[in-house]
Amino acid sequence: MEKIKILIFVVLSGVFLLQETPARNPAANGLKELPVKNFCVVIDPGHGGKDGGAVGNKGTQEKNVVLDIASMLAKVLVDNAGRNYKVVLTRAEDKFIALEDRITFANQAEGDIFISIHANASESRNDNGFEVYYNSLATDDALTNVARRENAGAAERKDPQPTDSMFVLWELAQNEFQKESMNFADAIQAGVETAVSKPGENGKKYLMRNRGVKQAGFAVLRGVRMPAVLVETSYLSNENDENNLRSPEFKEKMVEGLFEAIEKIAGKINRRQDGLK
Amino acid sequence: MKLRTKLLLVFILTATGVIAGYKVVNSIFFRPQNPAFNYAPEIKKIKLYFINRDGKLQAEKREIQGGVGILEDVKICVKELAAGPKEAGLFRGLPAGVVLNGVFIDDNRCIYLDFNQNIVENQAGGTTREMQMLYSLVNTVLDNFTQVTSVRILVEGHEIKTLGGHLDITQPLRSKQLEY
Ligand SMILES: [Zn+2]
Repeated sequence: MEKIKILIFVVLSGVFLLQETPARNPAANGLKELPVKNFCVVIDPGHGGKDGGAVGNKGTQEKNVVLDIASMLAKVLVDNAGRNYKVVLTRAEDKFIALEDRITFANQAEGDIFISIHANASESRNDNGFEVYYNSLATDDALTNVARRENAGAAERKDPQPTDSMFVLWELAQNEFQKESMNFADAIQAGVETAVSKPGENGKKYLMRNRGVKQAGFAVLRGVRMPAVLVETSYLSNENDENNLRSPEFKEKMVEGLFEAIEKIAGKINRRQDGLK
Repeated sequence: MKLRTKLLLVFILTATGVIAGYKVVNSIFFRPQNPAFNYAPEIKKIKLYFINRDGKLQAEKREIQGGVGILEDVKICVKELAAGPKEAGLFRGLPAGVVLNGVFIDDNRCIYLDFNQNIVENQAGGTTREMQMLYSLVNTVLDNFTQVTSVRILVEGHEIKTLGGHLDITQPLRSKQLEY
């Protein structure tokens, strides 16, 4: 076991060293400026193929709704004139993809942020609304911290486990992502609320309950090595919510809100990365 | 060999024998009679947690004919839970068709519930529904059996990552509230 840990450490150190080398090259070659960095957004439309996810009373399937929203978001990001976005979709068609493959794919793409898009359902037809989740720590069980933690540093209050340096490194990295995930979740919550509350064409108002930002142990969020959130767009088990999710205009508003949030978080993360140079 | 060495050897062997014997007897007879886990069958009042119209947990009280130990009682209790609510206005937490194959407990007093494939196949979808199911199950077990510290879910004898593609259940579950 100890040998394996040392081996992992050596391999990781090697990776860090390799990553540093190309970064030095542009300056050494006397290039005027660094190329504009693409900000990579990994969009993960939940479910797909044999896994339809939740189904509404009118037959609306989660896998289709979330693919719509994800594709619309991808288009808005790529088409925008400002920032240079690289968009990666974990699926672009109605296909089953295992959670592990989504995670591997996102990590291999070296995304800057990860956003998983879902539509919700409850045993109660009264349950409704929009909510954004970020991960609870992998050492907690899936059901802890469902109500959001009030302060960003909550994870740091846990007793450190100093016996294993690899574990501490991993914890530190996780805490860093967790804070950014929380900021991202906050930005989405605010962005979508603003976008949806604006009346649509013909003055149509969309009713959407904002259930806020929460934490839970989502398998897909625990695996990705980047700030990550999971958006529950609305409840297919609720009549009003299902109608919203069937409306192209509502989905456009949702996408507008998501885009605003990504713009905000991309600015923050890019500034931090610039600060590190 | 000197007499003293012989006596010492005999003493050591006897002592080892006594300790080993005690341990064997202890493990065979004492542990199963631990009153926290094994007891005489009796009629028990239990609380089954189902989902109410607000999507939150609500307990339904029932009486069961208990078994001779915690494993039997947990099995009876989860079977009642899987059968669904009797009161109006309550919804099932576990999907229909779910069968509990077996119940085990480990040294950390974590209860393992081994279900058939229907607990995955019959999922109706949705993160909230997945949470409601897990909370319904975990609350029912932890509330009725205070000797149990956590719950783990197996499907056909195997560990699985999630039941419906959302929540990671590879850790023991011990949370009891459904907060909104
Ligand atoms: Zn989903």
